[in-house]
Amino acid sequence: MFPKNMYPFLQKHGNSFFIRLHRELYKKELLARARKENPDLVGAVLPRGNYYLVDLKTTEKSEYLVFLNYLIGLNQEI
Amino acid sequence: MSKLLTAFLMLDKKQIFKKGKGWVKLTVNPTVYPLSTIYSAGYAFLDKAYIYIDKINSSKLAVWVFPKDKKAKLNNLGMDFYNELLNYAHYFTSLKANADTLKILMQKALFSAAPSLFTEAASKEIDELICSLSNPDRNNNVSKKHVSLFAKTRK
Repeated sequence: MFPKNMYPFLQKHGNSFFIRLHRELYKKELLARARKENPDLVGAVLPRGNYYLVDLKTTEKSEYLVFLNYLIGLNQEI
Repeated sequence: MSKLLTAFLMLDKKQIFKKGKGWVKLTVNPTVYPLSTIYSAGYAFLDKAYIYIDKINSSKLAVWVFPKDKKAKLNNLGMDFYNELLNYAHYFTSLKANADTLKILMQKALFSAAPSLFTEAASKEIDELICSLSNPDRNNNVSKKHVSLFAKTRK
């Protein structure tokens, strides 16, 4: 689905790709709000070590990037 | 430009820059540029690029910049991001340095718009001062601020 090493933030978990976000940079509250505002897009948020793995319910490459920018914008609001 | 200087610049560039197909990875030291500065610079870049921030170690953060315009020059974009970082670092430093002055100006503007606020605040502080003077045990709590405000009001 994605060329290898194209997106450094993607991590394969099971059969799907998750976005890998560092806990210290993308806070729990931020992800909770993103999930609340976009329940159709944001699926499970799994804590794994220093990271959160976020399941996006999409296969569109561009949506992953848009979601990252959305988080940066949301972070400024909180 | 001497060969040595050219080699040094290239080495330095390699350390802070890493380019790939459609992205540039920048290294930022969070002790030099605090997180708020990095987020603000990222926010300013939202219309030009997609931004992803990752932590490498305690003294190194990686900022991945994916330009929205595929024809954009990655080097320029990376350098622009560093400029934006400097811009916000300067902004936050100035904000901190001028916080007291800003507060005084705001108070002055507020009090000139509604002088009754100043009278109320002054009379409240005078009451507190009289109360503390009448109670010898609390004399030590009389602050210089109260005395100065009291003196100002008497004028």
